Amino acid sequence: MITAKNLTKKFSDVAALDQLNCHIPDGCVYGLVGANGAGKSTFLRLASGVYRPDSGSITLDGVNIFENINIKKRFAFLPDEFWMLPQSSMCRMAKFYASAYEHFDFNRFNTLSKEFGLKTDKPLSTFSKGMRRQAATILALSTGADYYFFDETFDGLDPVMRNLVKQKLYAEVFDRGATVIITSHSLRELEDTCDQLALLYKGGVVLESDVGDLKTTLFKLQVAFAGEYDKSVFDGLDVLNVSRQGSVSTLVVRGDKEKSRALLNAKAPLLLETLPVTLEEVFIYEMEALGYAFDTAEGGTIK
Amino acid sequence: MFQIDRFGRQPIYEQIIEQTEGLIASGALQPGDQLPSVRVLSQTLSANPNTLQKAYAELERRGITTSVPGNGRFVSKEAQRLVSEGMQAFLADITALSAKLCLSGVPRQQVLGAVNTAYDTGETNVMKRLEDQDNSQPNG
Amino acid sequence: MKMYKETFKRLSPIGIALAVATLIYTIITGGQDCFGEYTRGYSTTAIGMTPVLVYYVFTAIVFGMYGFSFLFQRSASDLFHSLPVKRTDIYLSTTLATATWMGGTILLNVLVMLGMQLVGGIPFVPAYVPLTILFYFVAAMLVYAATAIGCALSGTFLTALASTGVVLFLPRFVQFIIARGVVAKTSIIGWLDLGTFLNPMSNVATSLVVAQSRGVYIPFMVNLSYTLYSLIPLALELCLAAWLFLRRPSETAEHGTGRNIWAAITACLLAFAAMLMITVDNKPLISMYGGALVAIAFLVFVVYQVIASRSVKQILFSLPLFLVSGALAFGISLSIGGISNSMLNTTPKPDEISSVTFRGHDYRYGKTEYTTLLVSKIAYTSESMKKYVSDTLSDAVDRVNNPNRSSYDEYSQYQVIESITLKLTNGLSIDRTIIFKNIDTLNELRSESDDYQTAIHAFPQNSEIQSLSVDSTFTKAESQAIWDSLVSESQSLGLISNDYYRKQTTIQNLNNDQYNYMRYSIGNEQTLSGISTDGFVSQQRFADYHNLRFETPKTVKLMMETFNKHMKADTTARLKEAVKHIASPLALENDSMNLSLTFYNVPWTDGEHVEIPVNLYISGYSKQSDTYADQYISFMQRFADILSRAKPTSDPSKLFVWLNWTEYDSTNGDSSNDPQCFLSIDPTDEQALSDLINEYTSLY
Repeated sequence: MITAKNLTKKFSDVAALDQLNCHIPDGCVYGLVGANGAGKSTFLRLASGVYRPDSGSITLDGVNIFENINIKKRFAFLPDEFWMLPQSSMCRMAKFYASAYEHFDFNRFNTLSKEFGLKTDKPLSTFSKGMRRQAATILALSTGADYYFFDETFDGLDPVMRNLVKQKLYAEVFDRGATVIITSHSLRELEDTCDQLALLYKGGVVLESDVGDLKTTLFKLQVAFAGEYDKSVFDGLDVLNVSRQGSVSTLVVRGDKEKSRALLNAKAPLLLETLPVTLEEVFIYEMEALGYAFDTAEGGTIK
Repeated sequence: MFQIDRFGRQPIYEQIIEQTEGLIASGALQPGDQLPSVRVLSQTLSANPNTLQKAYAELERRGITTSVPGNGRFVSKEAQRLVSEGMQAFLADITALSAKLCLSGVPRQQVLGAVNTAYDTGETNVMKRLEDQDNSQPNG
Repeated sequence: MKMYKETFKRLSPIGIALAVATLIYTIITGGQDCFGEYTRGYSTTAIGMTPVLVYYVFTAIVFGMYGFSFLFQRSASDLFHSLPVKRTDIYLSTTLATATWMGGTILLNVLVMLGMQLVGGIPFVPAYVPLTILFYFVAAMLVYAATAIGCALSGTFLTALASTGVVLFLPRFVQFIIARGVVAKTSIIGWLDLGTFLNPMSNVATSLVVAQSRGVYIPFMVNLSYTLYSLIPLALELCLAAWLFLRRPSETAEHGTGRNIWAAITACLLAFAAMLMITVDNKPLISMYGGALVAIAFLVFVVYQVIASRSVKQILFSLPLFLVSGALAFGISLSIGGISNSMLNTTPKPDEISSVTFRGHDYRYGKTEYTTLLVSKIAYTSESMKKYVSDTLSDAVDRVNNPNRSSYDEYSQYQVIESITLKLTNGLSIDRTIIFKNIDTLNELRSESDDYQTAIHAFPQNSEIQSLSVDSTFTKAESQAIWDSLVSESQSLGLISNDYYRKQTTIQNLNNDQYNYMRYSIGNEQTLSGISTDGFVSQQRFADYHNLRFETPKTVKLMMETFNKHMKADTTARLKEAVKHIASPLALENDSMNLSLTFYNVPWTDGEHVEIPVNLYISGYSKQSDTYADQYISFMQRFADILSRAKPTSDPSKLFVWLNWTEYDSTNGDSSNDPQCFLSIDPTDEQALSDLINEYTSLY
């Protein structure tokens, strides 16, 4: 498990990460989401041992990651901007990686390249941005790492390629118990891919949860009663948000869906419907519950 | 076997559970039938294996599936019974939905007509599915 | 180490390109020296062996910048730092890869040159081969170390370059400025007299740059002690670079210099260097020149920080550092004065001196005379010598301190400048280069030493000589025969081998006699050609020109015989024709005729036999422009006429002439340069010749 404890990183006296805490369990697909500049890339670089923490710690199973070769040889880092040796081909970059990763698997590299339809001897400068992304992913996957750190990886990939990459990653996770940590500024994208999500806001992790839990334990109910009623009718439910129009109330509830429905049904409503809720809404409501106020009408200005 | 709507609002986890129950309820999946392995499912759906694992674990918790270590996951003997019990919950939904329609002023006959339509086409589909199963292997 | 192999490969485009370029240069220039038309007859200096490497050493900057180029790009830097490789390994592999490429290229160049010299039979000093390889290698790694430090401190290519420049050149530049100031202010301390601390040559990398402007250093640059001493700063710098590299945060990339403090410091140092330039020409600070320099320094200070940190606030906060630059520059110029004064006014008394050595008297061309080399090894301990030198030094110092003493009045035609080393009784030693008023007095004092006597009568051994030449027409055997004759004859007569160590008053007096200014030499002092010798004594180069004088008649005779062996039989007839041609109106503007005659044993009014030179030159152009043209032509015709009846001779005891003429005749399209010869005059012409010579000497 990768653990960050009060992790702080400053750039020119501006704290990119401030007392950040999070836990990344082994074998999961962990998504880190946040606005641009929230510190996702910084966190990823601290986790993969590129940066040294200013204070606090980031460890793998209790051991500091920075400059620890035994740990880093199990890590593969894929930045948003992939750098290549000048005038190199994929093959050349593979050799470059192999000089650092002792378990670099050339067979795997060649197989993957074929699957993705990339020629390993052509200069990378002739590749499109998407193809370069794919090449970088292939290289990372061939290092034999157990922990993959991908910074905005799926940007620039078409849906077909995106699926292919996902398949490869999932195979790693399932077959080898690998851990994949992905950053993105799009919740939509992470929603499908990850099973753990963390929201990065103002240099810290404000929400960290299993994805499934987020969407099953948070739901919207639309209920109407005959006659007058007030909020007390919702007692017993963990209600995050209520809005009312006429006799119809829309509730955002956290808890067990069935139990909550049963509870309301017992009060003989005229109408009881479960509405689907997007992950974005989940985040907004959770953040509100935590005390961060949103003005969603304006499109999410954060107070 | 599964038709996952990735862009819908329902989590994959829920879709898997619902669809499994649906297939059992319609008879497409019989007790003793093997469910696709997480790995295969993950590759074909491009879905997170952990999520799929969770869905399967939930099915097992509900008693709908059993797993034989080394052999895979199978529909349990009690599956159909459990599922149909679960289906009961939908009846409550129908009542609620009908209440809404009533409030909106939709006549009772129309609602009953809608129910009848569903059953007419549905029964045909169930027959068709059972036929197809006899002819070929069910797959995901 | 896998990373090492990978880095070696990564640097290969540069490594190969430069290796090929240097080898091509070495093969072409070396080939010319060894196999071309004019092959080198003697060994070069160590630097001269593979001169391209002087520039190659500085390509270590390219290797370093390219090897550490990942530090300047965010994406590259992050990728490298994410690899499971220790930072020390990254640093080490870049260092070793550079060392391999550069060391290999240096080795290859030297060996190729060595091979060519062996095949071409060109002489060389064997000790230079390993020495040169080590020298260039250490120099290259010094430049690399400075680059590594610069890169580790900086985030962009430009700032890294500036930092490299500061690390590599600033300390030595300061040292150079101080040295220059001391040399200029004391005037009795030459560049080669500077002690260990002021000597800018001890760091072999920067010595390559210094030597470009101080050519006197070139022969002394490559030596073992400098090279070994340079290993110390090399080790320190490599360790410093490693430490800085380890500490460098990956996020420095593309952010100028991570800590803006370093940007400010670099700017301060650059401004300091600019302001140091004021001490270069000894101009006062308060002047147009000083003002301009301060302005330039300030500009450098600001512009660099704009490039490096892009923050106006930063620049404003760092302004006080500019004052520091000024203070430093001022401090340096003060210290120059202080050091100069202290060194200048060290005038030990005779009883404080334990011995005196004379290192040489003409370093300008980097060549020493053989005798001087031997003399330089002698330590004089006599009281009279100590007193003489002590007094001369004190006097020299006094002259510097009191510029009112008119050096014009004090000029003596017998004064010489010698470099001396005084070993003091307290263990220290000082080097100076001072004027000795009278060379004869000095030599007399030196003659008290037996070693000195042996030295000044010594001639270079055949084994020490690499090249011997008399005239281009002579064969090697002929030149060798003349040399052997000169040596044995001189030694049997006990002659001093080098004019410098002979009694000057005799020689010069005669030459400067107002009435006899035409007489170059008299009697046995008459000089006829000479022999050039070049060679090495251990690793020190010597070059001499031994005048052949009538004092060694056997050798003179041999010389005359050998010249005449190569002469053209009809040379005098052809001479007459040539003179006729140039005199005639047919001669074109570009045609020319040069007649050079030296008459030996000409009887003079005071009964002596003297050497009289006659030089006449006419061209088609000068015929029209020069009013004396007709005179010259007349002389030429008359001399040519007499010569037409002259016969070859090899008897140095009678009157004879040394004939050397060239002409350019455009009708033939050719220039003739007949081999020189020695002719005796027909007895019937003797009187006519005498009159002709008198007429010539009275006119010119």
